[in-house]
Amino acid sequence: MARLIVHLRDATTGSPIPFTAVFVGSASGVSGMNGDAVFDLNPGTYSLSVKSPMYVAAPGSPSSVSVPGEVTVQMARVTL
Amino acid sequence: MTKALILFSLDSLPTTITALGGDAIAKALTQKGVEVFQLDVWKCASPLLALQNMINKPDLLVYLGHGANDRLYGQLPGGLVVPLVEVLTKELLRDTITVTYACDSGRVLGPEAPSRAYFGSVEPYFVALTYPSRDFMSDFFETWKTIPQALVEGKTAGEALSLYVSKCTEYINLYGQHLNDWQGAEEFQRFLTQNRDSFRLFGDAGAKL
Repeated sequence: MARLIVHLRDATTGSPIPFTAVFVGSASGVSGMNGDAVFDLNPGTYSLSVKSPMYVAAPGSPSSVSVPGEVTVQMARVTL
Repeated sequence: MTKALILFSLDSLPTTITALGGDAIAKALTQKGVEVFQLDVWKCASPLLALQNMINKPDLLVYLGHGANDRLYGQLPGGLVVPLVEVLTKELLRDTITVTYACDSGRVLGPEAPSRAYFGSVEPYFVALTYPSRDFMSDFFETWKTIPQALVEGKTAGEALSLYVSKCTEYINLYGQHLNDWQGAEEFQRFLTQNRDSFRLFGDAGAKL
């Protein structure tokens, strides 16, 4: 097993985005207070998506990730 | 000549997008021969709305920006202290047809507003971004233009709402056909569905400009 860390950040403020669902391949997790979601997976390349009720992954954000590794997903707030 | 007042703030990423949307609505209405006034950015504030009402009261008022149950904030941070419109100052909306693209603006202010007709959302309201595969932002602008344009064309408030719902549904269905090849399609399909299903009309559904 190898570790993957997904950092979720507000694209405008740089603040961490907690309590947000992160999907890596068929695995799922939730970001902690520090905006990070941690996965232990077999090495390889996986699809990556994030689901939030208030944010969306900014254009150009990665849709796949390599394990082991870490990746930052810039999230844009889309609620008024 | 019909008078329309477009109000929008510019104080965050979402309002950067609604500001562009407000500008698009203003241009569309101007092309239809409407006399358009704009209170934007720092001018999107309660005292200037009151002044506008005294000098040149609009028939149609369109607001885009942050909102809450009982208020339209207007430009922040000033709007946190004195909102553009809140329940206490709801008379600012009297006798207009009011269209609000803002979070929750239909919950309390909607039913209480003395507008002839008032459009607002009873849930959080979403903006969209432009991606390489699809300009979702422009699609959302098209949905926002639907109601003001329909009203200017002589349709009733109820008919305008139906057209808004149809336009949203058109894009929701389109996004559904591209879930695998448009980045963001799934998210914006969900967000637009909420914009459609949470949008309400209060007051007289037969109101016309």
